[in-house]
Amino acid sequence: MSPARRYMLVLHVLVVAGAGWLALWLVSRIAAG
Amino acid sequence: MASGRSRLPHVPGRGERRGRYRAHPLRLCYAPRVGTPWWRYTWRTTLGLGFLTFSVTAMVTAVLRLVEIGSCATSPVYVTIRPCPEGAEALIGLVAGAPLLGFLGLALYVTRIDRRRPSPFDDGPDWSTWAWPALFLGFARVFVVAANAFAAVEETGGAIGMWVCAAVFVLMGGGPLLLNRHALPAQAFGGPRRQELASVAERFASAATQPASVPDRVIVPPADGGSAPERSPADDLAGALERLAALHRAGHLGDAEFSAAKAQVLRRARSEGR
Repeated sequence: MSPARRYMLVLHVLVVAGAGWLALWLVSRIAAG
Repeated sequence: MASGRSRLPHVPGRGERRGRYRAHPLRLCYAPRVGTPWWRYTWRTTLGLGFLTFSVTAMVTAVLRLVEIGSCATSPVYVTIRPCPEGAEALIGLVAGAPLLGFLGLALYVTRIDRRRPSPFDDGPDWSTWAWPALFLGFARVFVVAANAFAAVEETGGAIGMWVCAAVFVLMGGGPLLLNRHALPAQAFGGPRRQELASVAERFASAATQPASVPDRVIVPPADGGSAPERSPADDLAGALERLAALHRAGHLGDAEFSAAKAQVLRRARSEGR
């Protein structure tokens, strides 16, 4: 796997994990009142 | 633009030709090759994919919470049997607002590469094809939860309705995944796309067998002002094979892809009568 591909893959995983976690946290915060 | 690591003929992108774009400072992506500045590529990937993921997750989870809350009402005028819990309105707002953010994210993400000049070498992952399945499979889960809620209060009609909806959503979300299953690994991990690889092999083959009119080729005139030395067809063929081998060594072409491209170059050379 080339450095460019590895870099973009890591970026994708971090972004998806971060954004998903943020969404779950926000919804649970709202639902908790 | 310095391109020390690649022996590929460099095709400047539109902005690059005007001298506006620079290569990625760490040479981590090939965005300059497709006419996209590296910073736009990175920011569009981060913001676009982030907005898209946030939107789909927030929408599905918020709807799930609302289904769990069930029917409720809040009114300053009427006496309500079951007042809405705190935050229900904000959840509804989130469900209404999230699609807008999702569309913005999808637009940013899919336009991070200039697709009129696709890079066949290393585009990185393309996860836009997961947006539809994620949305529909997520809502299928919401319907399953709703069906269980109906079944819990012994409303069989409602439960059956929700199961039918869940099945339809599983088909809609899972169908594209199933039809696209062969492309999924390449899309998930990145790398050259198949059809484009074929067109690149074609380009290499024509670069190897045709004279200097091919735009990829840069002929440097000799310093003494004489005419450029004629390159023999054998030199061109060897050059094309060397470029392919360099791509293969650098990991941009897999073993099978290298073999296919090489075979095409050789086939083209043979058909030219050598």
